Amino acid sequence: MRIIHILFKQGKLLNFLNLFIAIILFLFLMALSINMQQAKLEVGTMSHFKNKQLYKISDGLINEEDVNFFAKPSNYDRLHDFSELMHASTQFQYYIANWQPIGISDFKGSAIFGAYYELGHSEQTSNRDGKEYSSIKSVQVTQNVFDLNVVQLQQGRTFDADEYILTGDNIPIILGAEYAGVYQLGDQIDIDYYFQTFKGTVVGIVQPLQKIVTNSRPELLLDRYVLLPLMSLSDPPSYLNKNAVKYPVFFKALLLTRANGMIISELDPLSIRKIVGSIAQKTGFDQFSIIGADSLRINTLVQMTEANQFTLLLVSSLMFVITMSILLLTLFIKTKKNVSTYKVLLISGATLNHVCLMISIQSFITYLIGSIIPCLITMILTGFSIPIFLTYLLLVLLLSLFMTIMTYLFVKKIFSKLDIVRELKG
Amino acid sequence: MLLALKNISKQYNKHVVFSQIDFSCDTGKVIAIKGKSGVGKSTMLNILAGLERPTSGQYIYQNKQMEHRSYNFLTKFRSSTIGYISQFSPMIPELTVLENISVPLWFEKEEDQKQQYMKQIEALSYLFEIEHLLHQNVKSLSGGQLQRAGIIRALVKNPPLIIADEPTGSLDDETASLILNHFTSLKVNGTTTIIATHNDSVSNHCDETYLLLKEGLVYAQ
Repeated sequence: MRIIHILFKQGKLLNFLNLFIAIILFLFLMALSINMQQAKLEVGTMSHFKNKQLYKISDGLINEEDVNFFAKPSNYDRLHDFSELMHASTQFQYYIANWQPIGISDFKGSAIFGAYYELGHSEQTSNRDGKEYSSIKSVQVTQNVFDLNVVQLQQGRTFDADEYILTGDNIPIILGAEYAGVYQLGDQIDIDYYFQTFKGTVVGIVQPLQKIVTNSRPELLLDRYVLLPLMSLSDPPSYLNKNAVKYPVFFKALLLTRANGMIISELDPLSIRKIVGSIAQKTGFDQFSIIGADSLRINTLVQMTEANQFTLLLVSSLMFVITMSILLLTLFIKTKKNVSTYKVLLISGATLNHVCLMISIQSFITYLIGSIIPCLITMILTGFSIPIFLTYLLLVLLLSLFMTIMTYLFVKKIFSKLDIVRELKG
Repeated sequence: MLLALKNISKQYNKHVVFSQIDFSCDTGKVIAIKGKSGVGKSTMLNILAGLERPTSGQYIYQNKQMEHRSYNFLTKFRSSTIGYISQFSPMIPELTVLENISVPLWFEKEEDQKQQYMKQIEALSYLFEIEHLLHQNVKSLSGGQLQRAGIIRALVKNPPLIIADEPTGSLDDETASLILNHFTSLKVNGTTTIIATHNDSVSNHCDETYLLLKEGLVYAQ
């Protein structure tokens, strides 16, 4: 340790330069690990959609047709049956991520969570049962949204299968990463969802930078969103007639949301029409059209993400080569400058390998110190994301180890060039 | 016999420094190796100190073959056996004189031994008159003072073999004499000192003098 302490005391300017370069290198490593993790996630996510055909079901219940359709109570059942069979189909995946603001009373978050914040609108509120509800960004999702988009949580859990069934006034909710610190797991929140009030319980918080494909967008960043399960009815609406009378808007909206989903499949349009046509015939609901959706847009997104990943790797490799060269250059200057110290060590009982090892350990310590600031930045930027932190830590250790070995070999080479043993003659 | 060189040759690439020289010495002797600059005095001393390996021939130290040993082995041998003094003693500029002299103790594990060596440093510092400089930074020392500090560092562990390459080159006559007398005084402990020099006054202090010529090493007196 004493030798290492002396090595740190020698050539302070060069040591600081080395530390500075190490910090720069690890900042790039940090950017790389965050982006790689994100790009990996995005490519992984998009791969579930890549080369698949996407179709949208769009109901034709507009204006008068809507009024006429819901005038008959049996049509609620038809619409319910149609969406249930669509969700149950084994020939395609029926996927819904529906962008729909919800109301939250006594909202603790800032304006950034407002439903229309990004559009420049101020917070919107509404009153229900004497409570004021703020309009908040929300997306209602089916179970396969979590699987297909590989959504990662930093705390808590995703929704259980039985939580996708409407059974009462309680509803689990999952919050975007920026809600961390605003609400905690287990917090209860009063929610206004399609004009019906629910008691929401926070069961999970999503990791930062998680994205999903929604019905209307190829990419939605979940950081500021409240996720709700897109619930199905436990019984046909005719059984829930009383409620249907009491909450007509909620039932209508819920049934229409569940019916207007996305079909993800490798099947061609004709086959899809045939399958959906048969479901329509079986349930008696045929007031919809099938729209060929965003396969091309999603494929382009996948290609762009892959290209981004490649560019990132290229830039990082270039940066790595440049910083490595500077590090080795400073190491060369430092080694030549400290020859007198190495001579003293050699004649005092240290072996050449021992001296090389001490210089390498000094470099290793420098790299570790240099990785602390980027590490803290990583933790703050990613909201203390453990997977990204672990990826970064692994890269730091591997790189530091690699650089230490390089230092050892390089110093040994310098020593053999300097012929330090013969230099002892004075 | 403490050590022997048999048919030793040394060359760097195609440059032959010397070839087929023989040399031996007993314990408790002070020996001078004289010769002109460039004849290979330092190289011969480096081989004896385990700093370099001969190109051919044998180096035997206390009946052990040394010429094929690894540099790591030779370093340990040097650490335990040799006190090496060069013409300009290298120093670690960030340390004080005492810290520089104590560097060999960094590799010593036994605390009792360290204490003993510290006493030795104190005694030698008084003997070589640098006791008042021990806590000063080495940068403030003159060449002669540095050389004395370097000599103390070489002697601190009581090595049985002292290899000194022009040790008094940067010292005044009085100090040079003091140091050479100290080498002589160590003979009673069985310490052998081999000094490379081209100075007659140095060789006058020695028991034996050898002359290193291009043709080989010859006994001079």
